Formats: sequence, structure tokens, C-alpha cells
Amino acid sequence: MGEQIEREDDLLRACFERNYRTLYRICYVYLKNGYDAEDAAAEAFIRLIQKKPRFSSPEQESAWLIRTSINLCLDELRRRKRRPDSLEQIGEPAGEPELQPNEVLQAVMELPEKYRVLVYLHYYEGYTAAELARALKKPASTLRNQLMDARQLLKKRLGDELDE
Amino acid sequence: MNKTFTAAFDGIGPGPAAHHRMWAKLAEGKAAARLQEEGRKRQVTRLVISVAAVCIVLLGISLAMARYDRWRHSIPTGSTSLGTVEEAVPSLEGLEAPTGGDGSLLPENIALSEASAKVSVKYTTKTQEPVATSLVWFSEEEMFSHWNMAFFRGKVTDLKNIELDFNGDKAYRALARVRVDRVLKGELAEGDYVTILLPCPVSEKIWVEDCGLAASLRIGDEAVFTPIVYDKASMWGQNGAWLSLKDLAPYGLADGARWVFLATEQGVRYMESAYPGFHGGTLEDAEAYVAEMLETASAD
Repeated sequence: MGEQIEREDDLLRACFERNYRTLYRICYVYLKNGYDAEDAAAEAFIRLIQKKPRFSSPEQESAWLIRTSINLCLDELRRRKRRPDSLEQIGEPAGEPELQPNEVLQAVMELPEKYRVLVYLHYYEGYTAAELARALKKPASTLRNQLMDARQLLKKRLGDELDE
Repeated sequence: MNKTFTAAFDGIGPGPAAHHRMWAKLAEGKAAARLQEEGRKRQVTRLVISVAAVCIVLLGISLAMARYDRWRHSIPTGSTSLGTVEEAVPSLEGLEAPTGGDGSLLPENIALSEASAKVSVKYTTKTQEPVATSLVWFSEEEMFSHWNMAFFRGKVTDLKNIELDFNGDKAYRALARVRVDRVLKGELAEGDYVTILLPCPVSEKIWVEDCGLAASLRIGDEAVFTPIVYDKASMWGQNGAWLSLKDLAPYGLADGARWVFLATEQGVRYMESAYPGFHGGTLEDAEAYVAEMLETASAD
């Protein structure tokens, strides 16, 4: 029994190390808040522990975690809409350590919600449209169009900087 | 372009502090999830144990009811209720019907012990046709092991019908006096005289399927008997009255169709369906069959 728990802990640790950066950043682009992003990303892992879904590959596991974290972020955004005094409206808490905003990031964060995560997953994590379609359970053509739209918007905003 | 985005998103983090905080939250969630799971497992275990306990109790009740039912059917036809009243009645040895030293039943009223209540028994010449009841089925093995039974070969030396008065309800049975010629099992000795309560009166006029064999017993008949050994729990209750069967006899036949292998000129009469392993013959053959069945039962 103890051995089994140890083994589960090792697997969880490995899964966490593989995915925590991606999940954190996905949550960040949705929630625009480091602490909320931490909470949402950690919650996605906790859901994984609770639901114990079976995966045939680490990629499938990552896709499940991405989908779950996106859903958690959307839930959080809906909650924020119902709560006018949400943290986002109050402002970032003092001492938020990780964010080093620059112009590109600022531009991405200003994109409509549905584009932000796509831009992150495609341009940073290197997911192809087909992989995104599998992970997000949306048609690849739709995602390709959304990526093109996002790119146009960013170009408008950043101009030459984007082509570098 | 990817390079541009990489640099931008790198700026988001998470840094080591965020990594630490996320892992700590995850560890908390993991502990809570495990506690929940253990709680669920405990609940399931408790549920399984409870269900098992209920099943055992129900099984016990049904077994007890089945035993009660079988025992109820084992007493003479006509009884309406029977129960084990070991705690409710004084523990007294049965007085047994008075007998003469020569194997006859004395024609006196039968005195009952304090274990019996509101019931009287007397010899009678009157008979009443018993009501046919369905026999409780026993396997061949059970025919030799179901109750505490005695097995012996003997000769009927006396037979008398009796009238039982249960607080106004009349019932008719018979007592047979038997000389024991060979003991197959039981605390008996050759030459002993024993009394057996028959589940119906004896009369040439009576023929009820369940009582056929017992009702046809006559003085001088030889048979192998396999009666129940009555104890203080062997009670017959009817119409608010109670009779300790030991007051009448130390032995009794569970029904009148089985439990006897009766020697006749045409061979042994017995209930074939109850003893499928016996294919008839002489009383000696029946004796050998019973002895063999007892040996098998004791080996099991």
C-alpha cells in the first residue's frame, strides 16, 4: 500500500513538472493574475488526482490538463463577472513576483479571450492546429482561422516588432 | 515570430516561488483527496459489513424458521402450534405413560408433568381420522441425521390409542410399546422395552397416506424403527395448552409414512421415495441398509 502511494506520488511529481509551466501560463493569459493562475493550475492537477482519468500517453494527459485548466479559468471569469469587487478589478496584489511585462505580452493580453490561449499554445508551446483541435476539442479549421485573426490583431498592434 | 512570443511568454513565469506554491497547493489537494478516498472506502467497508450482517441475521432467521417448520411438521398431525419452551417451563423429566414390566401399556390415565399445561391424555378406543398433511422433504442422508434419533429393530408388544385434550381441542394418537431386539444407534439395550408415540391412532379403518405405515402397526409386528429422541424442548402447543411429548414417550415418529421399515410376509414395507438407496428385501436387509447409512453419516 505504502509502495503504491509512493509510486503515485512519483508519477504525480513527474506530471506536475512536465505541465505546470504550460498550465500556469494558460491560466495567466486568461486570468491576467499570477496568484489566480497558480490556483487554477493547481486545481487542474487536483482534478486529475480526484478523477483519475486513464491516458494512453503523456500528451493525452497534457491535453486533458490544458482543457481542464481552460474550463477552470472560464468558470473563474464567469464568477468574476458576477462579483464586481473581484481581485482583477481591485488590481494585482502587491509583491506579484513573476510578471515581467513587455510590449508583446501586453499586446497578447489585450487580445480577445478566445485568442490569447491559442497564441500561447501555438507560438510558445508549439502546438499545431491539429494538436490544438484534439486538445481543445474544436475543429482545426476554426482554430486556424482564430490564429490568423489573432495574428492580424497583433500585427496591427505591434507592427514591425512582430515580424522580427 | 515564435522567438518574439517565446521571449514574451517567458516573462510570465512561473518562477520558483510560484512553482513552490503550486506544488504546496497540489500536495494539500492530494492529501484531501486521499482522505476523501479513505473515507469513501471506509463507508463502503462499513456498508458491506452492515449488508453482510443483515444477510447473516436474515439467513439465521430463515434457517430457524425452516427448522421450526420442519419440527412443527414432525409432531403428530393435528397440532396447531409448537414451540421450544425450555426457558418457560420447569425442566422436568417426562413421566412417560405407565407400562407393565411385560411390555404392556397399563390402561390408566396418563399423568403429565408440570412441563405440560392445560392438557390431559387418556387411553381411548375412539379414533378420529387424521388430516393429511404434506411431508417435509428430507434427503436420504437427512433421514438418518436430521434429528437426534434412535435406530433399532424391535417387536411391537402393545398398542393403545390415546385421546389428547388441549383445553377442549381433542386429538388422537397412539402409543406403541416395543421390545428392542437389536440396537443400531441410541442409548438402548437389547431386551429393553420402549414406548413410541405414533402420529396417528391405529385402526384398520384409518387410511391416511401420511400415516399409512404407522397406522397399520399391530401387536406382534417386527420393524426397524428410526424415531426421534424427545427432549425437554419437544413440546406440542395447541389451543393455549402445552404438552411435553416426553410425558407420553421417550421416542416418537416424525410422521406415519416414514421412519419405519415394517416386516411383512411380502417383504419390508417402507416409503421408497424417502430411502432411494434401499431396494427392499427382508427386515435383515433393511437393518443392514440402516446400519450402512448410519456409518456413512458418522463418517461425514
